[in-house]
Order: sequence, then structure tokens, then C-alpha cells
Amino acid sequence: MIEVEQLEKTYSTGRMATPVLKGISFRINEGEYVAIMGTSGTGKSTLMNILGCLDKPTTGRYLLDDTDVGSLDDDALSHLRNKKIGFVFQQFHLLERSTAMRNVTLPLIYVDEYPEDVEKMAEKALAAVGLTDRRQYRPNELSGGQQQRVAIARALITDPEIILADEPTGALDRKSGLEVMSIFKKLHQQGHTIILVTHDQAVAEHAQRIIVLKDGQITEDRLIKKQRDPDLELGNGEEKR
Amino acid sequence: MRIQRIIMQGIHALGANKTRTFFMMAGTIVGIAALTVIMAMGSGAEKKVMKRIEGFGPRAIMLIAGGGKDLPPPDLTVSTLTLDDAEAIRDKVEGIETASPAAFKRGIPIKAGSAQSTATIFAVEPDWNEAWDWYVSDGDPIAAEDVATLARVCVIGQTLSHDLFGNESPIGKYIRIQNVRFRIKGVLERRGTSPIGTDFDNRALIPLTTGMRRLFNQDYITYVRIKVKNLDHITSVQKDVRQLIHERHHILPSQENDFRIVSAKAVGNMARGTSGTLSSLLIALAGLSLLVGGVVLMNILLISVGERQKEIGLRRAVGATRKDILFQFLVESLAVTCSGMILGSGLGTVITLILMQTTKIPVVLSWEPFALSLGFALLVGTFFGVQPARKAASLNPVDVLR
Repeated sequence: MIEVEQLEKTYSTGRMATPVLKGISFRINEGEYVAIMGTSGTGKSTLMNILGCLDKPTTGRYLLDDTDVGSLDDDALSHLRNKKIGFVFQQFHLLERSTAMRNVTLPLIYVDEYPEDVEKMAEKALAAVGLTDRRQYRPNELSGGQQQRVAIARALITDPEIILADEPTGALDRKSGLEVMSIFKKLHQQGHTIILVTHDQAVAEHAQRIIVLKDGQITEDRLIKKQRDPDLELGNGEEKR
Repeated sequence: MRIQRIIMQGIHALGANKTRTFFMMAGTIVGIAALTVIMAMGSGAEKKVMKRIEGFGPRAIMLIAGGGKDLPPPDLTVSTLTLDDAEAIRDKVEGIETASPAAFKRGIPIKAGSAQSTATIFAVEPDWNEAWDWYVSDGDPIAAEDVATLARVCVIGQTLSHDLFGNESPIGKYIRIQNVRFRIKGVLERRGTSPIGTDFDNRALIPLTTGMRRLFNQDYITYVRIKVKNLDHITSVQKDVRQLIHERHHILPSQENDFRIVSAKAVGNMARGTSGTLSSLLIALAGLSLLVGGVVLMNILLISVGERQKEIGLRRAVGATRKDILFQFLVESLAVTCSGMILGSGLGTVITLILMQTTKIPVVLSWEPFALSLGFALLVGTFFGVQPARKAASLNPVDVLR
């Protein structure tokens, strides 16, 4: 469960202090599918970095499963990211010279107790994104959509509570984008908490709930009555479940 | 273990970019190879020096007629060194085991029947064998009686024996030295050749008196070979002998000596002289190439940190701590220098072996260069790896993951 209270973030460059987040509060329950929306410069990247434990708020509280993230040191934050958060980035950020398999297992390098069945775990994660047969492929041998699916498998490998996706379809064509959204839909159905950060209303509508940021403040926090169904739009709702 | 996994990440990163890794390694390879060869040459030179000292006799001091600073061969026309000088040394200088006077002449024609040869003739006293640690392998040495009676007997070297008599034993046979007939009473042990190529075994020893009066017709000697009781006496004996001869020859401090004194130490220093300066120059060169290699390594690592910002950010995002990143980059740096060291040692060894086969440069392969190289590899890898690793670890994932 995520709970933010009066979150503020101010960047100081020299004598100038620029407030980016100005008192944000919300709560995301386990298993929710939330889109955080806003145009660029509204503080949504900053919010995502804080939610992802990559950055700390200037003031206010961020509770992640009752842990006060703001009070943790750098090592503890790394540890928390490794354990609880799976990142999906717009630019995929795969290791170019490593196979899909190595990319997917990367987060396991930094776990405390290395699991014995790493291969099986990786296979399972790759199967979840439909890339079982691409295990030994390197990123340059994969399409953009496939690369993003490898990145999603990497986010899944540690079985994190939260999947944090930053414009996951931003670098993809329509069809590949829908395929990625279809995977998120499935993951949500399996009980994962998904936070989607996007500027695109159409992408946000795949979620159950939209939080709209404007000028560092929440202007809207509503449930979506009719979610978009990527499977339906792909026209293969029947085969793909 | 986590550490092990991170080490593997570093090594995998190196393997994934072989060209970059090779360039990072090149300086270390060249530096270590140079170091290996130079050290092999250094120990080779030192071994040669030790052999020289061994050959000269570690406990020996030579008092040689004629001034100057050079090593033998002595000037055979100087007539100021006498048997009385040798006698005085024996009587007055402390710490001496033997002081054996001798005179010699080179290129003396020798005949045995129809066979003939030329050799160096040494007129010696009975303690010559002990002074030179050089004994007869067959027959008898020159005895005190032979000296007392001006006997016409000789002991010959193996080369001369072979030249005149082939494989037959020369003992009891006669040879003519400058038309004087000598009976051969012994054969010397084989000694081989000098560093400058003189055959030590092409010689004949005759009693000192016989040589001076019958053959050379001279009342002076060429040298006194002094052997000290133990190594600690070398310096004091050398000093005492110099003082004694100064007095006996009435040489003032301002005047030039008519003799010189050469010890094993001087022989060693002479032999070391040139090779010493050369190898310190080469060591400086090897050090320089290691330094340059290290700087190149650091630069490529710094560039690589820049190129891999996204990778570093991603690793941090998926759970790597700053220490993990620091450690991975240090591992990469150390893996580069250590593999460079292994390749460099291999290359250096191959070059050394080639030198051994194709040139006369003395080389000795030993384990010391490997130990030293490993030390250097660790030092260079750490020293030049720390800064890039720190830079990598200090990257903020938020900044690089945009």
C-alpha cells in the first residue's frame, strides 16, 4: 500500500528554489491500476521518482507498506527498490550487449539471497510477456515492442509489489503499445499493483483510476467508468486472454 | 554470493566489449612484458657478474705490476715488482692465507717431438695451486724442491696436453719450451675460457726459479696472487698491501703507482658498471609504460562510465547500491590489469626465451618478475580504477535514466 501525505519537492539551484511538487496526498491500495497523468513540467516525473524510491521528498511523508521512505538512507532505498519495485521505462534501458535472459535476471544480482532456480524464474517471466523463444536474443535482435516486453519481464523477476511504468508505450508503434498494455492488463488481473505514468489520456484510460497533476498539484483523482481493453482493440480478444 | 555475482557482472561487461577491453589492457601488457624481459636481463647480468667474481675467486686480491686502473692483462715490461715484495707481504700483512708470486709470458713456442704449439708459460711457486684453487687432475704439482733445485719440470693445461699428445697421458713425457727440455709431471684440471675468450687451459706451469733464471732471464715478477683468510679481511688486506708497496717502492702520495691492486669486488663492480646503468634506464622505461598504460586505462574507464550512464542508472534502479557500482568498476579495472599482467608476463617470457635462443645476452627466468608484476597490476588497477569507479558510483539514477 502506498500512502503519500502533503508531499513536497523543491529543487534548489543556487539561490533559486523551484517547487515542483506542492503538497500532494493520495493513497494507492494493493492491486490497484492507477495512471498518473500530466503534461511535461507538471512534476509527474518527480512524483514517479519519489514513488519509485529513486528520490526523496523535501517535506511530507511517503509510506510504502508502513515504511517511511523519506527516512531511509541510500543503501536502504536501493534495497527497497530491489525488493518492492519493478521499473518499466520509456526507453527500455536494456543492456545492449546482453541476452534477454541476462537482462531479465539483472535485478537478481542485487538480491540478498540468490534463488536457486533463476533460470526457471526467468523463463516464467519471459513466458508472462510471451517471449519464451527469445531467451538468447540480444536487444538489437528484437523489435521495440519485444524489447519493452523483456523490460517488463525484468520488472517481474523479483515479484515486486509495485510495477512502475513511465510512458511504457512512448517509444512504440500503436500495435506494440497495445500489446504492452495487454500485458499490464493481465498483470493487473493477477493482482499486481500498477502505476502508469503518462501524458497521454488514451494510454491512461487503460487504468482503473486516473490522478491528474497540474503545476505540482493534484487537480483530478477519479475512477474510470469504462476502461479501454487493449485485447479488444488488438482484435484478438478471443484468443488472447 | 552477492560479491561473486557482481564480479561476474564486471567480467561479463569486459567480455561484452572486447575491443575496449583490449585497449584498456594494452598498456599493462606492454609494461609488464618489458618489466619481465628487463628483469630477466638484469638477473642474467647479475649472474654473469657473480660468475666473474666466482671465476676471479671471491677471496682473491691481485697485486699486479704496472699502474693504471684497468683489469689484467698486466704490462709485462714493468720490472719493479719483486720476489722480496711478495716476501714482505707474507711477513707483514695480517689476515693472509697465501701470497703467491708468479711471472708469465704469453705465446711461447712449445714442441714435443714433431708436434708443436704455443702457450702461456707461468713461473710459479708451490702455493700457486692453493692461491688459485686450481689443482692437478693427474700427476703431481710443482713442489718446493722443484723450486729450490731449479728443476726442469712442468705441469700443463688440458688444451696444451691435447694439442701435443692427443688423448695420450703426457705424464713423464718431455716437451721443449724455448728449446729447454722439461719433464711433464702433472696435468691441471680443466678451467675453460675467460670472459674475454682466453683459453685458461692452454698453459704450462714451471718452477718460479727455473722460469726467472733459465727461461725469462729476469729478476722481477708479474703479480702476486693473495688469498685472504676470510671475506671480511679483503678491504684491510688491500689497504695494508697498498701501504706496504708504497713504502717499499718509495712512492709519494702525489706520484703515480707502479702497481695496481684488483679484488673480486672491483671485478664485480667493473662488470656491473655498464649493465647497471642500462637496466635502471630500462626499468624506468617499463615503469613509464605502466604509468602511461594506467593513465590510458583510467581515461577509457572514465569514457566508459560516461557511455554506460544508463546502465549504471538502471542497475541502481533495480537495486544496486553505490558500493555495488563502485565495486563492479573496480573489478573491471583490476580484471583488466590482472589479465594484462598474465598476457604481459607470457609475452615477456616468450621474448626472453627468444633472446635466450638467438642472442648472447645473458637472461635468467625466475618467479620474482611475476610476483612484482602481480603487485604492479593490483596497484595500477586500484590506483587508476578508483576514480572512474567513484564517478560511476556517484551518478544519480534520477539524472541518468531520463
